[in-house]
Amino acid sequence: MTENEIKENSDKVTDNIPEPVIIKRKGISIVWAVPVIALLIALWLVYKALSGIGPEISITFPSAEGLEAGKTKIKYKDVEIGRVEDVRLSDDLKSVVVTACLSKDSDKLLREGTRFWVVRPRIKATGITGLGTLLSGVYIGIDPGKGDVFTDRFIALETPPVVMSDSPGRYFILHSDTLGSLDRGSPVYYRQMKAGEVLGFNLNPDNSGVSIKIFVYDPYYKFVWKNTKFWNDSGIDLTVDANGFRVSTESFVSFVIGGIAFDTPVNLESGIPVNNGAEFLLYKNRESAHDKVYTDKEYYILYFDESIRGLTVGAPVEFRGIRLGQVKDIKLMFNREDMKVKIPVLIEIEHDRVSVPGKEVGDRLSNMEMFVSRGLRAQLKLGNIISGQLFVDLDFHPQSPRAKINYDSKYPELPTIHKSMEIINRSLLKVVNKLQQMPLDEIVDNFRKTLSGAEQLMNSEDLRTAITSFNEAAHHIGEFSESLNSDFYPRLSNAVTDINTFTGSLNASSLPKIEAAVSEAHKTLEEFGKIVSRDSPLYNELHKTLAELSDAARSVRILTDYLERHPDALIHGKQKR
Amino acid sequence: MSHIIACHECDMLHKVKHIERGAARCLRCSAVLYESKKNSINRASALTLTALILFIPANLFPFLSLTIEGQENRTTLLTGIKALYLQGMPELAFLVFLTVIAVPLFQITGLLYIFTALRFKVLPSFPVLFRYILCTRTWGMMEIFFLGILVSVVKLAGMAKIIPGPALYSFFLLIFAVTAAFASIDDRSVWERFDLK
Amino acid sequence: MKSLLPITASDASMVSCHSCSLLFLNKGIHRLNMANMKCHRCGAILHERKQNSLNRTVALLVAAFIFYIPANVLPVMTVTSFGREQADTIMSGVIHLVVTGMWPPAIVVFIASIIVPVMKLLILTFLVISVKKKSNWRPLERTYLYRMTEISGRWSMIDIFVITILIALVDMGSMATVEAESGALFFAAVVIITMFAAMSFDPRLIWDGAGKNAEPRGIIEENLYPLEKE
Repeated sequence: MTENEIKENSDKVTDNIPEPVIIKRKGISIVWAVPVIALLIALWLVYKALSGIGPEISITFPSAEGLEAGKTKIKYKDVEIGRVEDVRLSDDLKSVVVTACLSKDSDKLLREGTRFWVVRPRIKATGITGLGTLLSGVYIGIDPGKGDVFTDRFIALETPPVVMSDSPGRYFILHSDTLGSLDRGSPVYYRQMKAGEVLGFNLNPDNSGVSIKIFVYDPYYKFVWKNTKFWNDSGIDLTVDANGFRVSTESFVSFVIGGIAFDTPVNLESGIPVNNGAEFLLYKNRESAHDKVYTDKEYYILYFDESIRGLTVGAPVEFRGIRLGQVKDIKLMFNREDMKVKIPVLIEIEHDRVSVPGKEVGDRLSNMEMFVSRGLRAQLKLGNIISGQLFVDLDFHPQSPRAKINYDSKYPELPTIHKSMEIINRSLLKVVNKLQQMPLDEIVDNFRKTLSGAEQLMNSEDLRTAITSFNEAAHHIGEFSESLNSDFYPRLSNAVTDINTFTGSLNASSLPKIEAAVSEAHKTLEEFGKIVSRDSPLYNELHKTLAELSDAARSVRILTDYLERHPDALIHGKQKR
Repeated sequence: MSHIIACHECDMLHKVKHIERGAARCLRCSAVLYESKKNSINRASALTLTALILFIPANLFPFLSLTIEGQENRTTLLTGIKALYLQGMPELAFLVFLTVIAVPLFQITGLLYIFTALRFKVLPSFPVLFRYILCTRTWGMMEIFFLGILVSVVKLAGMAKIIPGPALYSFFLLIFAVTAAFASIDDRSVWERFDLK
Repeated sequence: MKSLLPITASDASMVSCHSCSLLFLNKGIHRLNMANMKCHRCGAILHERKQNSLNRTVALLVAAFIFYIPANVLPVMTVTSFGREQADTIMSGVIHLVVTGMWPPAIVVFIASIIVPVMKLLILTFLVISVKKKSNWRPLERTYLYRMTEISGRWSMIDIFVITILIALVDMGSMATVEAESGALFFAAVVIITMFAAMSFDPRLIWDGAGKNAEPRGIIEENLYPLEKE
């Protein structure tokens, strides 16, 4: 195109220039994309943060040692389910209230009976636990309970629970007079295999001993029957008897920290399975557990108004010839008002001697009430005709007037009946029979013979010669004493003067030395005598030393007990409480 | 004053038609030719002023604080850049400084100057300034940085406790203010004012 | 009477300032001699088409492709926690987010850090090749692709910013520290270089090559500034 042509075309070109498309609503510009996405992500984060917030709970701890707000975690089976948000003192300043925020789906853990505790390094004879928390800091453990009620307030345990609520097994209660060296976590053995653990213990409210709660693991609890015996297997069992020395212990652990063993003896008592929480007696050792020693005793009081001459403490209580228990105490009670005298007799009955078959054993007292209503009465009976010993006999007397157990006094009172005359008559008859059976004629004959023998001895020749010989001998003795006076005495006085001169020759210094030596020897002999004697100082010293040794042993035990409960005392010292 | 405009992207010529509202798009490639914005100068100046005010707390205060095992760490915009520099990445530090602090600050103050001047019917003395602001537009990356903050929060959420600082909220408002300020600029009308010269 | 062909600025011997859109009338100055001519209004250097556009774009693209490999292979940061080191690449960072179930941020980061750089490189390469071949295949769609590339390029910076925040925030001594690694540098380089490559590409070349822009056909007598050498 030439320049002219271009110029000619120009007008046409101008006409050809179109107008742009006009969009009335431009919509959202692309520049808003980033802020909008940022807003969406921010909203998502907020939603995520809000939806992740679970329930808030408060746990009361005895102390906040190691707990830090915003740092300490709550873990269930080592999975973090929450974090401590706040740690503050309770209103009464006696404990610490920890507020924690749990993750969203942990509501189902928060039931009544859920337990919380602080996991920190603990050193026990059975092992060291919580070592990992040395680095990561302490955390709060949780053991969900099985209650139906949901709650958000909990009281933490001071020490971790020995057994989690979901571990299979059963728990039992053992009764004992003393705790021995048992502690939480002490092992329970069955045939020297570890079969359970001691969960805890407490003094019975009536101060009648201690109750020990144990947990027996899954397969082992099936071997606990109603007649199973538990015994304290603490330490070492050293026996010296005719067979020599015998040392037995369940394991090294039980040797150090004590333990409980159980076994089921083979006997008449049937193998009845037991439920969770069944109660048993804890015997002192294996022997007493396997001997038929019945430590499960019940006390009853009996009132007699007749003479109980012949009844002593320790006298047996029997039922149809089977010993059920013994008399524990006898007293005299005088009532001023009606001027009557009553004799209370305390008896103990070993219930284990009576087996009550059947599923529902029932309460012992109600059983006893039933027996009494059927006519069970206590009665004094003559045990030994010669010594006149009495015993308490329990038996059914259906004809006797109706009576009930009286609960007015400290012990339940069993009704009594009199020593019946029939019984006395019967006893007398026995005595007469015995007397009849005796060979009385023979006894009289022998007696007569003895008397005649004595008469013969008196009148015999031998006796007379013996007397004359005796006279002669007396005469000879008289002569001898006279000769002593005449000959021996002058010689003796000579000797004495000799000694006097000898002593005079001894100079003044040598005499005391001898005296001293003599007294020294005397003393030595005396000391020796004292050593041998029971009340000698050496004996006492030895006794004291032994006593101190046992004191020292006890304090070592107290120290280890304390350390076990407060291992941190090694560093911080004993805390003043 | 020209009433013809060439498309930026395909060079096609269009007649300029006055529009009340909306955008004029190229017939051929539908690129935006020009827009008409209501109250553009007032809005832009107000928004840039807001942005400048927000810019100060967004940069001075920590926008995140991280707590691990009781140990707390706060970070501001500058500490991140400093940390990059100290870790032997001065190039990256410079890039982040440029895109998150320097360019946005330049854009905000520049726009504030231009629009305040226009508002008071004074013609800004440097038309070059407006050109620079427009062509550095893609280099101001505050909003992307904000996205980065959110992603960091997500990444750290599992291992530590993160507390948003006061700067985070200012930052959030700031990116909205800046975006809105840019969106409200009617560049054609600004250039036309320079034409009057 | 209307022509079927649209008239472009260069058809009408006009040059549009690409900053302020002011049109200039070119009275016979050749494209290549247009350097140093500035817009009256905004002072931008005028050019009918971007200077040396294709060559620059190709050079930058080659550099970006080279850097792209270390950017994805090398770790971008190392997290040291209690002496345990964990190196993270761009990809493993995204995987970590997906694994922990953080879907929305994971999608954002995946798009910004993985998809955007790859798409940018591929789209620009495709555009350069198609322009070189003077292809007339769908110029409109190719323009859309270009527009997308230009807008989305900056998004890839998100990973660089995350690293910056993490190294500042996670500075807990022996407990936990985060360190930037050389991969981050390469990644930032890829992002910046591709942004420059997108800037240096002139989309008008798509239409030129497609043959939609005809030869100069006339001069529109408007009240235009004449293009003059200063």
